[in-house]
Amino acid sequence: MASPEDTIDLDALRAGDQAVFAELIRRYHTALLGLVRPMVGDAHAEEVVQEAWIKAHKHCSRFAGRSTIKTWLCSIAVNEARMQLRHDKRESELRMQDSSGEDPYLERFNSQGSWSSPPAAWQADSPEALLAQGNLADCLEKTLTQLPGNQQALIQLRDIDGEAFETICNELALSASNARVLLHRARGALYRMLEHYEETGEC
Amino acid sequence: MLNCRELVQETTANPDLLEGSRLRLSVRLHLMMCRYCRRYVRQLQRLLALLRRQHDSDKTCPPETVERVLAEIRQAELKQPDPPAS
Ligand SMILES: [Zn+2]
Repeated sequence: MASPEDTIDLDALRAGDQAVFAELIRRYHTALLGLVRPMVGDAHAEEVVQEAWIKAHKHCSRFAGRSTIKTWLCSIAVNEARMQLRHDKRESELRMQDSSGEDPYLERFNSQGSWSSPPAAWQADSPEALLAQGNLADCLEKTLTQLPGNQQALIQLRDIDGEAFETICNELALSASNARVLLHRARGALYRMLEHYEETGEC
Repeated sequence: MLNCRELVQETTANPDLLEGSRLRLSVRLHLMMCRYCRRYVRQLQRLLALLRRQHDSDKTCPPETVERVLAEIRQAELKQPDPPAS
């Protein structure tokens, strides 16, 4: 699969080529905004991402290439968002948001751990057939952007971009076990949305 | 013996689920016997495939935004050529 990363000239970037940096902004600014918005809110998202770009610009000569450039940028943006929250003394709120989310599968199992409300068969049986259904793409996008920051980052980097799990944990400063819990929640929320959509045709 | 709840827990939290990495023996045994869990895992994999398909290309932002961000960077670097590391 051809990746857009291929066309970013990392040597030129490290050497301070402004055109290459501008290309990074063009490609990833929107994604970074989406990433920090659930953490810091609409009002602060632009400012946080701007700050992240300033940091990235300052440090890009030292980009080591251990992760993709996108993962590197995401980790800078998530760190900026965390600093902003600490600054606002809202960090405890963020932690609550990330760790106290409900298990999306609560009440699906009986006391023996067997399905009490098992998954129903879906009409559409391929990703293409699923996407051909009305506004499903918008519903998925909406559910994704409503997830807490770290959960959204995990889905984006692992499930969408296919970045290595270990690299993501390092960049986001998450333990593997914590990241698995967050992955379970995030995927569960998306699954519930899709399941609901298959049943009702609505988000 | 793995129950359905544990199977869902384990597969949903598996970062390599879409890559088709080998699932643990106890997971595979349960899947052989339980059609609901088979269905769940298949649906979850379909969801992940869908996400990857849908986001194959990122949304780019307009040139004005790129210019604005670059201008802010230049301004920040003029103000603080070498800010202390925090
Ligand atoms: Zn089962």
